[in-house]
Amino acid sequence: MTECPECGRAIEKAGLIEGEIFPCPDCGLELEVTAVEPFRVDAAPREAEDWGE
Amino acid sequence: MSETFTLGLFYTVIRPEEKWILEAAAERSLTVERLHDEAVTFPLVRNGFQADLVLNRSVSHSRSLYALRFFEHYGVPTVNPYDVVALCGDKVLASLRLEEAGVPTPRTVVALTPAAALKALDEIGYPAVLKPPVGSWGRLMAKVDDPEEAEQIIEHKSALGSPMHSIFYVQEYVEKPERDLRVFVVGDEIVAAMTRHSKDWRTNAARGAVSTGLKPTPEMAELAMRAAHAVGGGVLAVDLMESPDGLVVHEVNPTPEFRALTTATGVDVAGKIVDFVMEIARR
Repeated sequence: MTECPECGRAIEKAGLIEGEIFPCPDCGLELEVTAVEPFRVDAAPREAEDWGE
Repeated sequence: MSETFTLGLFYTVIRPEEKWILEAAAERSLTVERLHDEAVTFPLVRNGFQADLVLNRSVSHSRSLYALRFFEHYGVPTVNPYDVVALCGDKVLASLRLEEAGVPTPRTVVALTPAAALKALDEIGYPAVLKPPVGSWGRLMAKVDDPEEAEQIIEHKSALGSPMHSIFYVQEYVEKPERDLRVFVVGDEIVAAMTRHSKDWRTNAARGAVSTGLKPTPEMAELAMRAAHAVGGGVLAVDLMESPDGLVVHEVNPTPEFRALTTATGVDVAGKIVDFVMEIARR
């Protein structure tokens, strides 16, 4: 269990893997799983100008 | 393919697409080495990683280009190869290749200075579309309705500072239905297709377009396959528009997203990609 860095909402590890991005269920901030053991999340990297498909 | 085959997944973030790829690899008992584009270093001599083949899923065009060139330098095949990504990731180069291959594509004029961009817009005629040569998800694209608007947009683009914003890719505005078409090609197979509906003239899924599964017509399939082969083939999403004069290919995406496509069609696109990667590794 960890917390959203923006709103403090409790985030559970269930099913998440390192590097995965997902929105915080409360504030919607895009989060990235930066570590699984111990479980940590941070704001996902911001889109850069050369990002795309 | 040896039993100890290791698939390298070069990535920026794990979106549903990358998670599905990891799951598809696990279902096929493949060993996966995760190569995070923010962490990997590239010495001139290979060292420190195990991958026998690298699947590129980095969302950064610049990182992809250097990394793919290094992997190839190390003798590691990549999907897609450097040449394909370099070509498709630059709209100017991609348009040239499509034109050379006789693939119908919107009328396009490239200009290298702001003054020439105004001339290019006159040549194309208004309304026209101004796109950055490198970029995706509809970012920094502009529909230009008249010369006055053109001057303002070009001044703003020039002020952004990056030399790439002073290369002007000017394209005709295609009067299409409120949708475009996406055909997903893996090797010699069309694995799925969809329409993307939007009231916005940009029909990118990233801009909220609504995706619906589609059975491609023979013409659509043939054109998508021609476009894919023209750029070198591999795992590619070919975007087409229904212009008044028929289908035109406006983009071939070399690191395509397929979340919306998978949801809209139910096709296991990730599984198709992993099967293709295994096929390449066996060659």
